[in-house]
Amino acid sequence: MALELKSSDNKIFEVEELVAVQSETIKSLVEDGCADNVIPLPNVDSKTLELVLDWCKNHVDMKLDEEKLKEYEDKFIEVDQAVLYDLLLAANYLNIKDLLNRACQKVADMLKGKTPEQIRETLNIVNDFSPEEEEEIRKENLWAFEE
Amino acid sequence: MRYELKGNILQYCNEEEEEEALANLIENVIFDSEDIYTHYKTKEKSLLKYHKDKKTPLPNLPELVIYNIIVKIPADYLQKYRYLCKSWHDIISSKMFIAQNFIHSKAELLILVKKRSYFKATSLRMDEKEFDFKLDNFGLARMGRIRSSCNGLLLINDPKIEGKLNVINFLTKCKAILPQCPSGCPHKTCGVALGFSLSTKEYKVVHIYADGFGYEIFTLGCSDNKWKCIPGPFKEPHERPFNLDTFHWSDPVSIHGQVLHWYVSSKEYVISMDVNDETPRKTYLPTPGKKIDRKRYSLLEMGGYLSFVYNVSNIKIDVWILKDFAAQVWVKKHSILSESVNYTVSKNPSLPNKYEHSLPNFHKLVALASLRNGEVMMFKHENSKNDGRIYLYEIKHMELKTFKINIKDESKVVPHRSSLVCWKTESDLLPR
Repeated sequence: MALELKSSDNKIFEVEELVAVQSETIKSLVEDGCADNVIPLPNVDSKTLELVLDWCKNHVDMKLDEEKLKEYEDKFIEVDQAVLYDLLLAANYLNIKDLLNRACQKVADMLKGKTPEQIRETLNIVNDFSPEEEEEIRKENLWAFEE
Repeated sequence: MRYELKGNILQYCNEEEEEEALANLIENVIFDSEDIYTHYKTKEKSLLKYHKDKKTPLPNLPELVIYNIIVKIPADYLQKYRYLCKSWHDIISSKMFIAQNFIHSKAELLILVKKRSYFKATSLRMDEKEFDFKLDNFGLARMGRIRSSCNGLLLINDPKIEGKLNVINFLTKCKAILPQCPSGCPHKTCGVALGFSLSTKEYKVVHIYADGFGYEIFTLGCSDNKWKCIPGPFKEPHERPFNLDTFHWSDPVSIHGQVLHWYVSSKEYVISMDVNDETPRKTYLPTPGKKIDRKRYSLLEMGGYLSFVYNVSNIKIDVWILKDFAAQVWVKKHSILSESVNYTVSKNPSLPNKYEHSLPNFHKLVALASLRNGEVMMFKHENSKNDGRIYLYEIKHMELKTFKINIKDESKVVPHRSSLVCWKTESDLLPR
């Protein structure tokens, strides 16, 4: 059975149910019988949706070939930062567990090389510690015993 | 008590807890036939705002997605990222997070080298894909002897005070000092390990010195701060398989801190103890037809199981694993055959020429540890002339490689994974 998905920029994608239900979000809709009409996805643009559907399709096709699938996944996730974030949010919104985990792993790999300052910049984190509070915490982590 | 040992064992939380935490990544999904929208408790507005305002290149990610990302960052980096902001500090300090982060922690081998009265450690990490490794310094320049590792915590002799044991996490800089054993053991020729009981969620140090004295067990954070003694594995002196004059207990093989196995110089069995029930028992070795020579085998942890590595001949080594501890079922995992091995010699100028192209005599290879979840085995060459020679064997492709690193006869190898487990007082280590 085929389903119709509509991206935020009003593009319609026709997909096999088997592929679309990789998304737990869409799966629930199908199970509740709400998937007869076009399913609107206002939080995912067409560019991202196309990538996501490619992921889902390959996961159905290569289900039995672990090595091939891993190769595909490694290649798939080599995208620039902006696309990676879009994928992350889409995977979260559509509840596609394996895509979400893979995207999070990629972001984790990107972050681990950075200094704390660079991470603040990358993720827009505001340091809400007061200098006294920060000092307090740092003291706790000093060597409490002699070498 | 039945339990399951798998490759990436969940030591801290059981499976249901892990599933639950990950399932909560999407909360309160509401469906309407006209619109689908996902409600996040606090972040809904910023999520929709991001999509309208594409000028900001980097979004404010929902907190649960941030959790899923930082849980995958190795513990040593997270130690620094604690100070980024309060929310990161809270996440990184939570017990559930520490447990889930530990699941992603990469295995390393700590190679200990004695330097006069102190010890130094080097950490060896296998490359994920290539048959290669990296060496790094580990811990302090002058440490005591590292005995055991569990959940990122190291059980280590005090470098200055004889008979004193400490439990240290070098990453979070937490230290617990153990009281002296009732037996007065100086901890030089005994068998001790750190374990974690899944049933009671307690860390236990299990020690044996003279088995007539019995086992001494200490629970970290216990209210009376005392060791408890339980009977040793042998009731009568004649039951002992070893010669009392020449034998001394050594540190057991620890299967992820759950089950401990001691070599007792026997051709039939090893002594095992499940940390959960603290009951010693005999685990019979596999009987491959011929009688086992008690000097020709090693015990190590491999992919979550006890492994019995037997030097059958100078061209054959059998590798068995204890697939089922409770039912004592052994499975032969692999046979290393001299004729089937692909031997590559690294371009190491320090290797003496005559050893370069010949396969080692398998009788002389002593299995030390396994890597990459049981896919790779590490051996050392017994011959002291080959001081510092180690061999790495990759099971799937039967590849053997040799390296020279600073490892001597008395050097010990301790498998380790770092974690963020921390405590202010030892009672923090007990379950709440």
